Amino acid sequence: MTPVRHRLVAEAVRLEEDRLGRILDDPAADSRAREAGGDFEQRLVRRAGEMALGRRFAGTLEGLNQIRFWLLLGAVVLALVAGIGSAAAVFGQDATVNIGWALSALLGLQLLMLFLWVVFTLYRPKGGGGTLGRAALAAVHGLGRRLSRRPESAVVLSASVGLLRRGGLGRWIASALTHGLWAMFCLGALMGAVFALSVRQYEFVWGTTLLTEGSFIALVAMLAAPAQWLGWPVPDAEVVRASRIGLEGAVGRELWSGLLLSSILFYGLLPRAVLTLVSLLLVRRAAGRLRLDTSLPGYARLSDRLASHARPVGVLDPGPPETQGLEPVSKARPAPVHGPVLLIGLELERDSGDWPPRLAGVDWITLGRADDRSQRRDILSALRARDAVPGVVLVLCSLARTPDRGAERFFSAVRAQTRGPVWAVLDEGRTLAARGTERAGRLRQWQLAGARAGLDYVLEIDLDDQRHPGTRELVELVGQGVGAG
Amino acid sequence: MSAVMKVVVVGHTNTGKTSLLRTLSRDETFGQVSDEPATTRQVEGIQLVLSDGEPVMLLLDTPGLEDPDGVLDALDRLAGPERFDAPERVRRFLDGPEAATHYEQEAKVLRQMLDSDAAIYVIDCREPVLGKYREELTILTYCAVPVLPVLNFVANPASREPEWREQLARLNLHAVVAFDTVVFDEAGERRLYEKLRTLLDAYDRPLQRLIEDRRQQGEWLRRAAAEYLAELLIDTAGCLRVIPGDLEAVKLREMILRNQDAVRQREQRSVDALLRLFRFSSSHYDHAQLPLVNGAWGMDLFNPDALKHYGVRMGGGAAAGAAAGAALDAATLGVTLGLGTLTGTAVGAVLGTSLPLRKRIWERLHGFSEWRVSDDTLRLLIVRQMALIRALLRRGHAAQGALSSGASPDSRWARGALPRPVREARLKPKWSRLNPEMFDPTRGDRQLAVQRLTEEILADLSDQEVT
Repeated sequence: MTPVRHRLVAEAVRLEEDRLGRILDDPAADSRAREAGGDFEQRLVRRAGEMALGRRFAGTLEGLNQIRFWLLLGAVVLALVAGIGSAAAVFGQDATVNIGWALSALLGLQLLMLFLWVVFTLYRPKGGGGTLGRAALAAVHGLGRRLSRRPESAVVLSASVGLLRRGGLGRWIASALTHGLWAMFCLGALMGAVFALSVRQYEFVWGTTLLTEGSFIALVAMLAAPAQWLGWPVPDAEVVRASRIGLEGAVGRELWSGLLLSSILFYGLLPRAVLTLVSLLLVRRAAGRLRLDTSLPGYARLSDRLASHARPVGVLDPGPPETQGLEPVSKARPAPVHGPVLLIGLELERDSGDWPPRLAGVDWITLGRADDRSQRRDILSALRARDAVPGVVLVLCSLARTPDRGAERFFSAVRAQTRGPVWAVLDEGRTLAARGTERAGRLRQWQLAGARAGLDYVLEIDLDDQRHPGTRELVELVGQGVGAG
Repeated sequence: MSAVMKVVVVGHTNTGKTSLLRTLSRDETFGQVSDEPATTRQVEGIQLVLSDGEPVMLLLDTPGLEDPDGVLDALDRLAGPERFDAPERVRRFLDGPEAATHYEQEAKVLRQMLDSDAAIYVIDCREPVLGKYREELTILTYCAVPVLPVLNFVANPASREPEWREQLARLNLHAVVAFDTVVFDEAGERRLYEKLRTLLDAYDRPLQRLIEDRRQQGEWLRRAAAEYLAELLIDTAGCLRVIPGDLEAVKLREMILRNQDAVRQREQRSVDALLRLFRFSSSHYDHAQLPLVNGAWGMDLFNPDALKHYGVRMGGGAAAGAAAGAALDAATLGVTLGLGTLTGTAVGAVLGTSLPLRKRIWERLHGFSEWRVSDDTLRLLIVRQMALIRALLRRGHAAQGALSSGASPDSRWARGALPRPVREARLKPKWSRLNPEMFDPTRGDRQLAVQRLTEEILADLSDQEVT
């Protein structure tokens, strides 16, 4: 199939989808179009071609093209016959032929139409292309619709009507038809004239009432110019004068018949044949440049389906096997503690003006905040330096953080540096809530981290809310330690 | 240098690395996302390709960095008397025993870093600039690969974007880009690629093509969405039902309800098509209570409250009648199409449609009336669907929350005249799929109307983006 036919099928598929009001799902066609690549328009064409519907349309198009071929053949024959017919009318039973009359019958209409074609092609009132070609195209469409019984042919035909409007394709097809058919007409006329002039003898005369003799001589000279240029014998002014009606004796039969035939050839057949060729070349060029109008409704929605965005390449470095079986730190409430309460802040949201935090009823000894490496080192060495066993070491953490292995390692380090119990106390649940993250899950993650690090207890509190159950519990548990340090 | 640039996505645990990859690749099935630490424990890759399938960039998803403290300690221990430079120290660390045990996760990341053209460091900018993040960035700079910090969750009210930008500048990281993985922003994505371009001179051309390709895709997407809405409006505007005048009240109500159902279903089809277009499956969000069914979206098209909610001005007839949604349309039509007004210009204006004039006058004389969708309902449709399209345009493929149409933005069509092609479609029952017996798809004028309306909607969409 030619590129134009592929695009015709795509356009027909679009019209059909538009009629149905939805995209026809054909994932196989989509993915083949994606794989084929190219720009969006090329992928659209490819998709249509791969679809079952597209293949049906292509079949219909094949059938229509056959019908078109026979119709075109018929038109060609008709034009040829018309040409022969007009020659027969000119060279009738009468043995005298009026030269002016014969020329205008064989060439006049044709030249007038050529003039109109030039005007219409230059000004393009309705896309141009010539009346004959347009009529022929319309007839082919109309007859094609009637002759093809498939339901798809209506869609294919309206798709081709739409497509032919683009890029002058329809104009040049119509032009090629126009000129081709006229060329056939001229060929028929030439054949008819040659035949008539071969088997019968005619007297050539001319006459005028309005014009001067000089103007007729000039006209003949003009018509004869191409033949003369080629060296063929043509009637000169003497012969012309001698052939005027009313003068005695016929002169220059061969010369006149030569002029007649060469006029049909040079002013009819040749220009039409050349123009047909030119039009065909322009058809080819337009066909080569033809692209779908992707702004038409129905195409844009396919863009995403037909575009590749990403291609997974899989796992490059597999993860370690899952470690399972760890339970969160037990929720069993420990006994109230006696002895000093040590407090470490781990990656808290609160700024330094808010540190150390105060909690009524609890008097803790702050060891500092463990936000970076040096702070952590200092805290751990301070913890190691304490001789007395503390009542409890509280690591105040933020629920807003995701517990990571860094925090876990810090827990373990604290655990290793003290003989007293170590608890993780989780604050700033409000910050977490403000972010719209679920709290229960985060709490469990901290409990798991605490379990892995060997902490004794994990408790959620809210330092800004004395009545928070966790805060109350903390006060009850460590409040005993007031002043004990 | 390989043909396709390799960019590794790194960051602390649970900052949205996988989400970033999902959004950039438009693939909501890539990897695993959850609010847990260390959800991603492997290195997984995805190739960004142009529309025509040409690969441009290999993006690598990595496990989160969790213990930069420990890694820095280990690297410091390796400094030793020989004075290795930083990348060499990282290499030695990777060859050492700790890389296979304690810091297996971090080692995976660093190994990819050394082998990449650039790194994207994802930051949850709701977090304060903690010591561990600075330490992570220090380690990353040891790898001698350009690092582009990407601020995630900038759209969150708790965002600390300025603080982060200041701190990053102190760490000598001046090319920073804000890109929310949940709230998608085409301009943000383009900025991200532009910043990468400044860091990756050798891949300037492919990145430029990627930017251009994504821009074009965005345009196609907007056009397609606008087209769906245009089709919906043309179909709804032209919907026409002839109702016999001698129908009992109960039957009339039934009939009107049935017609309304047809319009509602048409809207639902359009919504489904839009979701599909933006690659969001409605089934995927079922558990999250898709408000399209339940919340504000569930509000009925024909409910007068819905009109108010979306700021649609009620037409005179509707306001005066204050009738329940159902009766509203029929009542308005009764007034405008009643026998009394069926003269002169009214005939021309209202009946310039496809039903043969004679037949329609005959019907009118014999007490038939016509049911159509009111202007207010059409306005509501426009505003609602525009809100949906905007919400979809701004939704990242990493978003897991429910889709909501958000506040009702003020569309210029909420009040005042309807778009011209819609007004035209009012008079063209042949254009409407809701009139199956009249619908004629071969008409080129319908196609032209859809095209023109699409352009108007596109213009309105881009207006809203500018403001």
